[in-house]
Amino acid sequence: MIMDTIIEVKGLKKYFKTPSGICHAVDGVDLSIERGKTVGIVGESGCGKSTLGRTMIHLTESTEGSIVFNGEDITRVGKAKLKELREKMQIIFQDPFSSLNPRMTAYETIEEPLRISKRFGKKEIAERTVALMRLVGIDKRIENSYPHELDGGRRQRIVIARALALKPELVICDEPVSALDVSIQAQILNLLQDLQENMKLTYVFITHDMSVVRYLSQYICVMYLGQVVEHCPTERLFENPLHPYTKALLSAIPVPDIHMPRKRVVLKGEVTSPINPKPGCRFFARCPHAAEACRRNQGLVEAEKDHFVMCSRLKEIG
Amino acid sequence: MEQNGTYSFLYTEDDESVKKESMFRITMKRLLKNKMAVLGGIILIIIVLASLLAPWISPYDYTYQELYNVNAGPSAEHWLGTDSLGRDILSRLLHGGRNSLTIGIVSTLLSALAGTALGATAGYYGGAYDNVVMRILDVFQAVPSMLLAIAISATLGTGYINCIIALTISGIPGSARMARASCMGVRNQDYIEAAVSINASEPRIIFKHVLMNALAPIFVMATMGVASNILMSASLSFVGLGVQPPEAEWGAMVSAGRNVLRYYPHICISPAIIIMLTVLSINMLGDGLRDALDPRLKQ
Amino acid sequence: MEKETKQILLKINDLAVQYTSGDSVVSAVNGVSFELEKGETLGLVGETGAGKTTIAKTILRILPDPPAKIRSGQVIYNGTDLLEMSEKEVRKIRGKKISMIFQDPMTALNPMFPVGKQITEAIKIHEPLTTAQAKERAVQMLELVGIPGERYGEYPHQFSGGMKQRVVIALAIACNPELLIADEPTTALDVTIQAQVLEMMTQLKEKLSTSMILITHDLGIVAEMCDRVAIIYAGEIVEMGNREHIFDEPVHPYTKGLFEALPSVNMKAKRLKPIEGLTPDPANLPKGCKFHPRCPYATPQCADRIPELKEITKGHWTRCSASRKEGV
Repeated sequence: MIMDTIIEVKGLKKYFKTPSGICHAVDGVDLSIERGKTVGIVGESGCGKSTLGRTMIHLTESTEGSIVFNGEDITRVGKAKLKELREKMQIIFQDPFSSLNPRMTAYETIEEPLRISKRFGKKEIAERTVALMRLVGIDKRIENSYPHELDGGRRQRIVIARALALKPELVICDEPVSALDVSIQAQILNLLQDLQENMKLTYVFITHDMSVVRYLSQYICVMYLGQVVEHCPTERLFENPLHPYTKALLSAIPVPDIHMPRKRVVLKGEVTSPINPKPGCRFFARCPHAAEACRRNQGLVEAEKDHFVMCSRLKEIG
Repeated sequence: MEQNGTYSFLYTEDDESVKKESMFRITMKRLLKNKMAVLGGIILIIIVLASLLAPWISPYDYTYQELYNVNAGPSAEHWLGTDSLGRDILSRLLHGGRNSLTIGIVSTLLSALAGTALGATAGYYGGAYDNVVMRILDVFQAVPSMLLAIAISATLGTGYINCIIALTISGIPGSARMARASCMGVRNQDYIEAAVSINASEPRIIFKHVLMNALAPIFVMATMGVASNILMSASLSFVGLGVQPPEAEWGAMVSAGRNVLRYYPHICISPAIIIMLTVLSINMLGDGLRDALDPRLKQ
Repeated sequence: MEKETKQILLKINDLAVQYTSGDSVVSAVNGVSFELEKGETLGLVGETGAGKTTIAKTILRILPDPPAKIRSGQVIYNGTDLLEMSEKEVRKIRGKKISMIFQDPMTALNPMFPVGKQITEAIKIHEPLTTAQAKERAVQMLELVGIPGERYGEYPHQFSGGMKQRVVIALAIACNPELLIADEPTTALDVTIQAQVLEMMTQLKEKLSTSMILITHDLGIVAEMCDRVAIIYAGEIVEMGNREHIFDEPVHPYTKGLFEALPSVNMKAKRLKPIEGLTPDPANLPKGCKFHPRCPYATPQCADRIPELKEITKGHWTRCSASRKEGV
């Protein structure tokens, strides 16, 4: 079985200096993504999922670790190479209200990456822009509208068109639907799915919404305070979550079904801070199964085939 | 927005796109809806036109001294009276406007340009560059701007050009600060990161994405700046550092009239009223512009 | 729940609210009527701009006027119309009998005062207690929502988001209100924290038997918390019923569409079925049924006539002309 890996990160770390100490936003993440697939990265706010995505595509520089893209080490790259890479790696932002320049029309926004790349003539830019608008389902009618005149769904379509303008291979989707209403959310999710098929895109889908990940992704990484605590194929995670945090996360989701029996694991306490974390399991303070063994640093263990968990008390928990 | 009929998300060929309106036209349209701004604009235009046309419309030469008729009150010959040297106040007001308005507008423009360049780059790059620039400006700002202007024009000497230079320099820290704060707010928006991710060059990001969205407050501050610089140049003249006699300048006229304020108030009052009117009209226009420039407000 | 002795706490009749800005008139609420029984939790479900928050603010009489104007309607609370009362009379009810939990805990607390003090102040406004007594009650309230009493003197910034929302809830229930309006109380929180807060709210409701109006866009939360549900679309109630009606046999195409558009955690869907089209612009609502431009079952009549809210089975109301014909 040959895996066609598009991007692989090893031991990726991103630390920030803050006034109260060093923030371990991403703390030793290994991740390998197959071309054409979607990997979901789930976790709660402050777990470092957005930083991970941004570090992978060089929107922020990593502190440590390596990134290999299409078989090439891109951990440290020069300006020229970075330009080339950015055309292949794109990002769709969470909030379509702040990710569009309020002074640029829909058309100008979509056209901008084409212009900047300097690869196309005037006519081709125009043709491609129109094609992109059609691709993401934006009426020609609104091409001269400014963002504030449009609703969230159409804005997000513009954001998507801009990201896809230069035919990227890898797209980081940073909570692309969480600011949208349910009825619009489904439209955008379907659009993303269609685009993936048509353009052979690879998605890194960052979200806190488990149901959205289940719908879109083939593989899931659960993050907690900068670390991946569990990763496995999507269906397996939902059928057999192993890490206590994953279990709690899954049971915490309110399900729109009144006949579902609820056995909820309510966690005590709050997410602790990623600033100067204590050694040992990061989930220690909130874990219902915490024990002495958890004070040691943990590593990912393959609990079953292709299912990795960072918990030393798996057997005891059962 | 179309609300009736069937919705279609599919692109339809024959759908005519709405004609694009330039930001300038949109701004003008909104500005014209604002009654206060329009009033301010009209007053300002009248004042500017009158000053421009001064050589042709002033009834007397502004230096001509009617020595037999000093400190005269308003009359049919001299609508606003004459000053203590017997010069026609109306003529001096018209001519003085050329000096006062140029000083106000040019110095504000220059300090806004320089300040925005410094502030925008400081706000965008941050870090050491920001620190160096802002600390130097802090030193300037630690001195009250009036004192600074007095110090500069005392060093450079009196006169029209030097007055502009003095006012420009003393205006830079304020506008740089404003530009910096405004740019820093914009800088953290996602669309700046989006621009980085599509390989936009730094000058492009700073101009097109940061500055264009940070401009509204800077612009408004500049319009207010014109007003305050006219007042400041008036004060400079008042303490004898600005434009020198026999050249006319509004501030200098107020200053000259103050000695005889108790006996001949008309000498002081008419330039003071003109200064007030100018400042008021510019502020009214500035307020209107701030609202009109905000793209988020609906037309 | 005492279904037999049905006591109506709040009754809203034909409420209509408009916002005016410049020349445009936005109809935020268009003829909304519903009842709330004592001890009951009613969920108001709808998307952005559907008018949910406006309804809540009208009940509390905190609508900003201008731009908002109440065009018609009554809000009858315990037999008296709140909209007819003077501001002075309303103040005796607001915060004491009816209180509200806002969406964003960050802005609902004054950053300049310790949280305990804010609760004490709120109590003292409405109850004839000494400062010491009020303080004691405030500490009790904090402990009731799961915050140790020692944190009385801490400032809002010392609390995390979930804890702040608990403080906000403590503040809202401090005077033991009869009616609690919760406007998206957990939207700003993480899932695991949301679970904690929901759990706590459920317990509180049992303990204090408060009636509640829960405003949310999340059908999952509704399933968990609510006895009855009203689905709101473009300022109108399009469907209303008890939880079984809404979750087991939704009738209105919009309600059905909402359920179908949701990706499920329990099942991998092949493809989602979104509701086509856009949420309507409240300044320019479609004629006839507000949902008809997006409705897969729309007929030409739907564009002409606003369907009435009809009771199809006992307690299950819907505003759709098609559902009657089917004879559901």
